[in-house]
Amino acid sequence: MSTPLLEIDGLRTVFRTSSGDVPAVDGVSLTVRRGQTLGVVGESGCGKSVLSLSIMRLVAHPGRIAAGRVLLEGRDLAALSAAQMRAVRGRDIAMIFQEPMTSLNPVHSVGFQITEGLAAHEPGLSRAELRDRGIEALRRVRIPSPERRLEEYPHQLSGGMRQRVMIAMALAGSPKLLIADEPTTALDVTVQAQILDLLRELQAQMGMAIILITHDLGVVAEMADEVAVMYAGKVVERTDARRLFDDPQHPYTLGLLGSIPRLDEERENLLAITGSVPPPFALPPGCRFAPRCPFAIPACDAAQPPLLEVEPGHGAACIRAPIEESLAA
Amino acid sequence: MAAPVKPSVLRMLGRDLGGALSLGMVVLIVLAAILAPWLSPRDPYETDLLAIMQPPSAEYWLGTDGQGRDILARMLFGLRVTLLMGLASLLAGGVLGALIGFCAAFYRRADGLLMRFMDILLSFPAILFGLALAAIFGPGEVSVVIALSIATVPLMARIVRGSALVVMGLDYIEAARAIGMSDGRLIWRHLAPNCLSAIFVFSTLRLGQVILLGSALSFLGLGAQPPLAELGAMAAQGRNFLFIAPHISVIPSLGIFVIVLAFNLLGDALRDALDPRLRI
Repeated sequence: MSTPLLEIDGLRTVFRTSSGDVPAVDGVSLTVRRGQTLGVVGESGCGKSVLSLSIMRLVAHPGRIAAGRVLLEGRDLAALSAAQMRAVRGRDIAMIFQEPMTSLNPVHSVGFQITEGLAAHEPGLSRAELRDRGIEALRRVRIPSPERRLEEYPHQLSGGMRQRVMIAMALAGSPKLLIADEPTTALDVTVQAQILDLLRELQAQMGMAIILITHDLGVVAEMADEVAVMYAGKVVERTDARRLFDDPQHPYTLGLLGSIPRLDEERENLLAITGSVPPPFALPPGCRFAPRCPFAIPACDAAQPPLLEVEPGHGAACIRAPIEESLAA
Repeated sequence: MAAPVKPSVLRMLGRDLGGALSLGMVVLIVLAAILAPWLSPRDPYETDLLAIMQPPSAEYWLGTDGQGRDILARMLFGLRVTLLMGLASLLAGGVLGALIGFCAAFYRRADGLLMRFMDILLSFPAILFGLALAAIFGPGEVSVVIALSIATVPLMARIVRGSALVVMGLDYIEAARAIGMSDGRLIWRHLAPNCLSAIFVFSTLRLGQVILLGSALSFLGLGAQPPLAELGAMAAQGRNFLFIAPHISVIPSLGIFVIVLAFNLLGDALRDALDPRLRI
């Protein structure tokens, strides 16, 4: 295959605090192929949102990208000027957010917000053309009577509608990569399914790749081709979606899977991962999951395990991998 | 939360007695200032030495001053000068202050420096600026306007920064950035419109204060110079006759009082009307 669409190599994003630089994303390497969906899973605070902002170069002060490269079709985004980066945002990479209630500006009409990016990226468009493109974008996300919706304001729309508008806004510039940061977390379950279906349909239509950031393994199972599991700023396991569920290798992934209620097995209690995520300013010296890991051995505290392939296309950052399923019981 | 602003705010103001009353007063005051040349019974600078210090009467509704000038005429024209000085300094200081506030909220790196500078400005009383500027440029309306502008900058900067910081935390700013908007556009089209209600409320309240300060500076002889009709200066000129003809001082002072009261009440009512927590 040709060069991947997006290649992240050793990305490290730190936040400056009074007690020194604290890493939120620590040496993450990932690739996203054209037209595919990469699911990034992890619990709150594992750095998955900071990862998405780092790709867009939108990490706000006091955070900054300290090391690593983000290559979009071989072009290093970190080396671009601010103006060049603006041209990338919205046209090559777009983003949708978790909270549809606050991600639309209450003082502007839906049409204004959808066409604003287009107007900036393609200055030649006339007002009528912009309007047509706006209607087209709303139609694409299956919003009924788009001509009327274009004139409406965000407070007149429901949560699901707003998320559709957000998607329309992000896709108006036909990006090659869409970063969806917990796109369905704030929505009702039925609306969640609709939005995921819509995303899948649009992906098939427009051929964009998606980075789907979520804490919901169900969403990953439904949407993702490849999955990266993040824990405390690092990728701990990375493989394709089927293998992640069939043959998880990292104890953290095992723990996550064990905490999902299942219909096809009888279990008294759900497994829970004991303890909580270490704060990024007090990380253990060795494996960051070791203090919570049921399989930990003294060697785990010695050094951070690198992400190694346990089999082709399946990486796990655990010195005890491959862990046999029998151990988990 | 933020419905289309105009009709509902007016309705909210109308619902509240203080709001309706103060809005009416402000409209009357502004109309009187605009229509001064047509409303005024005589020339405010025409002296009549045969009719000095007349108390209010059928001929001179508000009496005459020490040089026999009609106080009603001088009040109407003085209102113009007083309001214009207030508006000019509010506009100049407010725009500059708002810009600084937006920049501080938007460029977090600059925040500390900008706000410490504002704190320094805040530590000087407006009267002191007036004295210093009058010493440099000589007393006059321009000195007063500059002094009051400078005194307004840090206040507006703080108000705007606070309100802009809240808006900056909302996802739509990030979303607009993520579709490739430039900083200028983000501030102007996305940040500023969402801070307007705070700016409006503060401006209205501040206009009352600025008018009071401007009149005070004129009263001290640093602002409007005789024979120019200005409420503070008129009150100062009547000072010498306080025991023989108190109306010369008292009437312009009452005028200032009413103006400031009207703007303060309007500001309070606006704040209530624009506060989303109180909106039903």
